Amino acid sequence: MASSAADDSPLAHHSDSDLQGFFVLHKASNRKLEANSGRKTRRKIELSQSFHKSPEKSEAKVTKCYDDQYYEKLRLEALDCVWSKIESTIKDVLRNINVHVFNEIDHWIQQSFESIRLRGTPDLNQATCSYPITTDVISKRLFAGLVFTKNMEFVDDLLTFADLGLHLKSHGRHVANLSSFDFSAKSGIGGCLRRLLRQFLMVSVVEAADVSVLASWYVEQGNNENPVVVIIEDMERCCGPVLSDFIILLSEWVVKIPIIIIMGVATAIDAPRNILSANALQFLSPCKFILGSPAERLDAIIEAVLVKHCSGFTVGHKVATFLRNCFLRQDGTLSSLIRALKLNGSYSNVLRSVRQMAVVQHFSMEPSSFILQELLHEEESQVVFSSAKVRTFMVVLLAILFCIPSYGYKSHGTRNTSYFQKRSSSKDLIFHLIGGTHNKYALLLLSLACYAEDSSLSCAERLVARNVLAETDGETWAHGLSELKRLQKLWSSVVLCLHEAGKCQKISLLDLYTEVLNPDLYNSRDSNHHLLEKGFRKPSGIYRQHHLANCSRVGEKSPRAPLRRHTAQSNANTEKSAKGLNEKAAMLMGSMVRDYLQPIECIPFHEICCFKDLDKLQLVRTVYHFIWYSLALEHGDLINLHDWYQSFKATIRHPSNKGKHKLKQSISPKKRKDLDESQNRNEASVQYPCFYC
Amino acid sequence: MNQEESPQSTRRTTRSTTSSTPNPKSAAKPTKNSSKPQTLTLENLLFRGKPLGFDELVSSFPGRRSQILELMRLLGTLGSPMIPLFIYGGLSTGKTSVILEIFRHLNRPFVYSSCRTCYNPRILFESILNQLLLHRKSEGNGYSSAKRCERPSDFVNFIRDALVGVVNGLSGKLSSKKLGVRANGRMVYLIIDNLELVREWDKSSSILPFLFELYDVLKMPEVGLIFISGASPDTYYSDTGYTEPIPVYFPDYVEDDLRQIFMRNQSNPKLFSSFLDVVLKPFYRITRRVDELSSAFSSLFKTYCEPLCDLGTVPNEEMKRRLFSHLQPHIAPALNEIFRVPSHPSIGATAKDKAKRKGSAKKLEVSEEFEEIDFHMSTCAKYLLISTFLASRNPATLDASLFDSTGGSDSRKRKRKSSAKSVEKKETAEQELVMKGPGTFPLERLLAIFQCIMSVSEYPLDEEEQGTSELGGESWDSCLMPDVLLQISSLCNANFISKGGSCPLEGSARYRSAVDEDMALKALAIFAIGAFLLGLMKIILMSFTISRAKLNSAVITTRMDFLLSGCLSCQNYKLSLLFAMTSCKQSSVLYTDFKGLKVSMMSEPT
Repeated sequence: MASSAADDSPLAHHSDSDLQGFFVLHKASNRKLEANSGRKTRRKIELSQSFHKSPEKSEAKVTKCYDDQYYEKLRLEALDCVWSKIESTIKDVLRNINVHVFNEIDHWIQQSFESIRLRGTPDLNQATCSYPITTDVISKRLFAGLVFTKNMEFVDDLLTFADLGLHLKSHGRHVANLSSFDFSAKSGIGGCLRRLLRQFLMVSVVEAADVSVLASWYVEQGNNENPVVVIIEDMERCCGPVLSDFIILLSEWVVKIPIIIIMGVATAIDAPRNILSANALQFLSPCKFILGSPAERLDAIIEAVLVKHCSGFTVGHKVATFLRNCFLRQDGTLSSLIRALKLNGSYSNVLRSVRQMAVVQHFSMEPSSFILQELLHEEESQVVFSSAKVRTFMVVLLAILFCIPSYGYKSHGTRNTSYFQKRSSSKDLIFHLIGGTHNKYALLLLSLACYAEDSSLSCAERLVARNVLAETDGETWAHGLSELKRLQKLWSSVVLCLHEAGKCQKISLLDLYTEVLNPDLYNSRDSNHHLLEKGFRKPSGIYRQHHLANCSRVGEKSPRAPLRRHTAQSNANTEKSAKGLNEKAAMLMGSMVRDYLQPIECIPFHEICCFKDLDKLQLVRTVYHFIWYSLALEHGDLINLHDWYQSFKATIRHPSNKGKHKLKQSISPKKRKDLDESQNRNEASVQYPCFYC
Repeated sequence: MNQEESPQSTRRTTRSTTSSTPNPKSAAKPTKNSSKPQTLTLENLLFRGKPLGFDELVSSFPGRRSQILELMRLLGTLGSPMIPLFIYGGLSTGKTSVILEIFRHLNRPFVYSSCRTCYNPRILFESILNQLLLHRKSEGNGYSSAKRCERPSDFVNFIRDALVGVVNGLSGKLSSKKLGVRANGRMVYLIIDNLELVREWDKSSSILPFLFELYDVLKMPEVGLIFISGASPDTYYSDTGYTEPIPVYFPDYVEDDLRQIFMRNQSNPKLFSSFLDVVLKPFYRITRRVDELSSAFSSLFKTYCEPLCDLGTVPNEEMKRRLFSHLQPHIAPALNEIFRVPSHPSIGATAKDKAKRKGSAKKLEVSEEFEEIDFHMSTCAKYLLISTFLASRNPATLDASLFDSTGGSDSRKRKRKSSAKSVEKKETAEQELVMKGPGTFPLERLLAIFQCIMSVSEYPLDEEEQGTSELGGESWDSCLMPDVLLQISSLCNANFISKGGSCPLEGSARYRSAVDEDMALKALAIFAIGAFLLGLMKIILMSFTISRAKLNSAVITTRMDFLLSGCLSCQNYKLSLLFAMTSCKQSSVLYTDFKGLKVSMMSEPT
C-alpha cells in the first residue's frame, strides 16, 4: 500500500528546479537530527533483517515507513503538491486584483488611439517620410499612462507588467516591454530602440536601430487598427536623459506611428517630474492609474491562502507575527531575495516568499506533513477519510506520534507538553504518563509509539508494541483530522466576518490574522479582542458584519432562520432600532468568536498542517543575509538584486562547491579585517552555510 | 532691406505657385498608395500635401513674415546656387515649420533629416542617402539601408553619386514622366534639423566641422544646405576655414504674435479671445514658447468653458466676468505647473479635485493633518530616508552634539559664550549651507545616524502589541545590516538617494539625499506620535533648510505652548529631545522656546 502511494506520484523525482537545492540546503533541521541520530544505522540493519526474515506484513510496513528516503520522497511529494496549489492560488488572486485596472488601461488605450487617429491616418509615404508631417504641438504629444504601483520595491511588479503586456496583447495591441536596463546611459538611446525593434519586428539583428524601421513595419503589416504600446516597467531606475530623449524622439513620430507609452512608477507623482527633462514632460499627455497597494494585495493573498486554507497549510501565531513585521519593516528585501531565488521572479510578495520558505521548512522537518497531501486529496475527490491508504498513514503517524505535542496538549494541558518537548523517551516517562493519564486510549497509543521506538527496550517488547500499533484502527485519527478540518473552516468564516466588519475601520486582514492566531488570547478566553472592539464601535460596521454573518456559512449549528429575519429588519429599520440590532449583532459575533475562533495552535493535530517554528525561519533568513553580506564585502559596495540573485543561484546550483571554499575566496583578508568590528553580529551567520552546504 | 526685397519675391512666388498649382499631385496620390509594392520616385523628395500660396504661407505664420521673406530671398530663384543657411532660434519658434512650408510653397525637392531621430552619424548619413537614393526600409530588404555608411569620407563619395543621380533625374527624365509631377528647378536641398544635438555626439569634434564643410567639399552648385539649430552659431566652432553659413534668426514671439497664433482655427473666436485676455498676459511673463503655452491653455480653456452649456455662445461682459471668476483660482497653480497628471476619467473627478485642493492647501499652511507617504515603503526604509535627509542637510561636525546624549549640555555652554558676531557668522554659514543644497556623506555616517535614530525611537509599534514588539526587536537586531544595505540600494534605485562619485581620498562612494522637505516630513509620520510633535519636527526640519521667512510663518501657525504640551504628553521623550536639540543648533529664532522645552523635559521623571 505504501508503495502504491509512491507510484501515484510522478513528481517524486524532480531535480530540475531550485526548489530542491533549497530543500537540500535546509534539510538538516534539528528535529530530524534529533530523531535520527544514533538510531539510523541500527535501524537499517533491522530493516534488512525484517525484510528477509520477518513474514509479518505489518512490521515490514512500519519499518519501511521509517526509511528516511521514503519519508523524504513522501514529503517532497507533499511539498510539491501543496506548493503548486498555493502558487496557483496566489497567481489567480493577483491576476484578479489587477484585472480591473488592466481593463481600465486598455480602455484608455483605445480612447487615446482614437484621438491619435483623429489627427489623420498617414499612408505609407507619409509614415516613412523623414520630415514631420505635422508641427502642431498638441498632436505631437505622446499619450503616457503612469501606472502607480504604490510600492518602492519595483521587483514585486515585474510580473504585473508582464501580465499587463499579455493582457493588452490579448486585446490585439502591439506591445513591447522595456525595463530600466534598456535605458542605461551606457547604451544610450540606441539600446532601447534596438530592443524595441527586436520585440516588434521579431528580427534578430537590426543593424541601425532607427525609428523609421518601426514606421515602415507598422504600415507595411497593415497594423492600422491597433496602436503600438511601449511598457516601461520601472521608470525610476531609468537613466533620465535617455528616457527623455526617447520620449522626445517618439513624439516626432507619434502621428506616423500611434505610439502609446505606459510607465510604471514606483514612488510618487513627483517621480516623472524629477527624472524627465521639462522638454520631455512637455510632450507627454499623462494619465494616472493606480494598482492595488502591497497591503491590499497581501490581504487578498492571506485571505485566499491562509484564511480560506486553499492548501490546508497554515502558520502559527509567532510565524504570522514575524511575517507581518517583515512586511511592515523590511518588506521588499525579503520578497525580492527569496523570490529571485525561487523562480526567476514569478512570485511577488514578501509573505508569499517567506511563507514559501516556511512551507519548505515545514515539509523538511515535520515528518507527518505528508498527511497534508492526503487532506488535500480528500478534499478534492471526497474520498471517505478512513480509506485503507489513509489508515496506513495513520499507523505511520502513530509511530511518529511523539512528534506531535499538541495531542498531549489537548488532553493534559501545559504540564504534559513540557514533558513531550523534552521527549527523553525514557521508560520512566512513558510509565509516568500512562499512570497519570485520564485519556487512556490516546495515551496508550502514544506510549506504545514511544515504546516501539525506544531502543533501550528489548527486541521482543518492541515487536509487541508495534503489533498493537498496527492493529489499532485509524478511527481516532480520522476523527481528529476531520475535526481539525471542520474547525478550520469555521475559523476562517469567522475571521472573514471580522474582516468584513473591520473594513470600515481600515483594519487590514494582516493585523487581524496575526491577532486571531494568538493562542494566548484564546486560552485566556478573553474575548475582548482589540480589533473586534474597534469593529463594533461603528454602526455601519455592525450592519455589514451582521449581514455577512448571515451570508457566510458559519457552521451548521448557527441559528440561521432568526438571523435572516434580523437582516430583513435591519434593511428596513431606521436609526432608532439600530442600537438594538447592534447589540444583537455584537452578541452573535461575540458568541461566534467564543465558539469558533479557535486559533489553529489550539486545535489538536495542528502540527500536521501548521508551521510555527520561528527559529527555523529566522535561521534561513540569516543564511540569506550571510550570502548577501559576503557579496557586499566582495564588491566593496552596494549590490543590486540582480547580482545578488545571480550569485545566489550559483550557490544553489552548485551546492557541491562548499560554502567554506567560496568564503575563503570571496573575502580577502584585508577586507575581512576592516569589517570585523561591525560584523560581530554576523559572525554567527557566517557559519551557517558551512553547516548546510 | 526686407521691404526692398519683398515685391521681388512676391513676384517670384506667384510665378512658382502658378507653375505648381496645376499639378494633379493630390489627385494622383491615393490611387498610387493603395497599390502595395511601391517604388519611390523623385516625387518623394517634395513636400506632400496641397500646394500652398504665398499669402497663405505668410498668414499661417503670424509674426514670421520677415523671416519668411528673408529665407525666400536667400533660397533665391530657381536653379540659383545657394550658400548654406543657418536657421536658429529658441525652442518652438517655428523654424522647422516655416522652412518646410516654404518648400511646400516653392515645390522644390529637399531631403530632411533630424538629428533627433538620427541619433548618431551613421543613421544620419544613411537617412540622407536613403532619401536621395529613393530607398525605403522594408521587410523585403530586411529593414536595411541602401548603403552602409559610417565614415564621413564614405558619405562624401556616396552622396556625390546620389546627388548626381537626383540632379540628372530632375533635369531630364522627370518632365517626361507620365504622371507628370514636376518639381521646380534642379536643385536639391539638404535640411539638417536639431543640429545642436550633434555637439553631444561622441565624435562631435569631427562631425560638426564636416557638416559645415560639406558644401565646400562637394563643390556642387546644385546642392543647397540648410541647418536648423536651437543654439546660436556662436556656440559652434566656426574658425576652421569653411564658408560660414548665413545665419537667419527666429526671435521669440511677442504677445501679439502669440495671440494671433492661438486665435487660428478657433471654433468660437470671441470666446477664446476673451479667454486669452485673461490668461495670456500672466503666462507671457513666464514663457513665450508656443508648445508650453498651448498645453497649458488647452486644459485651462476646458475649465474656462465648464460653466457654459453651449460652446458656441458669444460672451457678453457679464458672462465674461463670471467665467473669469470661475477660472481665476486655477490660473496661479497652472502657472507653476509643468506636468499635470489627471487620472482616468472613469475613476472619477472627485479624487482629482481633492488632490488639487490638497496641493493648494499644502503651500499655504503648516498642515494640521499630517500626510503620510502614499506608497508602500518599509519602516526601515523610512528611517533611512530621514537619516539621509539629516546627513545631507547637517554638517558632519554637528553629528556628535546632535546624537550624542552628552553633547547637548556642552553646546549650551558654548552657546552662552557666543557673541553677537559669532552668531552672525553662524547665520551666514547657515545660509551658505542652504545655498549649497544637500551635501554628500559616506555610508558609514549614514549608518551611524540611522542607528542613533533607531535607538532613540525604540521602534514604536501599535500599542496593543507589546508582546510582539519584543519578538520583532530581536529579529530587527539580528539582521539589521544586510537589510539596511539592501534598503539603501532600493532607495538609490528609487532616486531618493543619489550616489555620487567616490571621494579620491577615502575611496568609498559618497551619497546624497535627493528628497525634499515634504517627502522627509511624510516619512516622519512613522514615528507615530501626536500631531503636535509632527508639527514641531516640521519646524525643525524647516530650520535646517528653508529661508527664515518661511520658518517664521511656520512658527506663527504652530503655537509653541501647544507643541510643548504635545511633547510632554508624548511617550517619545528622547526623540523629541533629540529634535529639540537639533533645532537649538540650527535656529536662533527658536532657541529660547526650545530651551524651555528641553529643560522641562529633562526634569520630567522618566
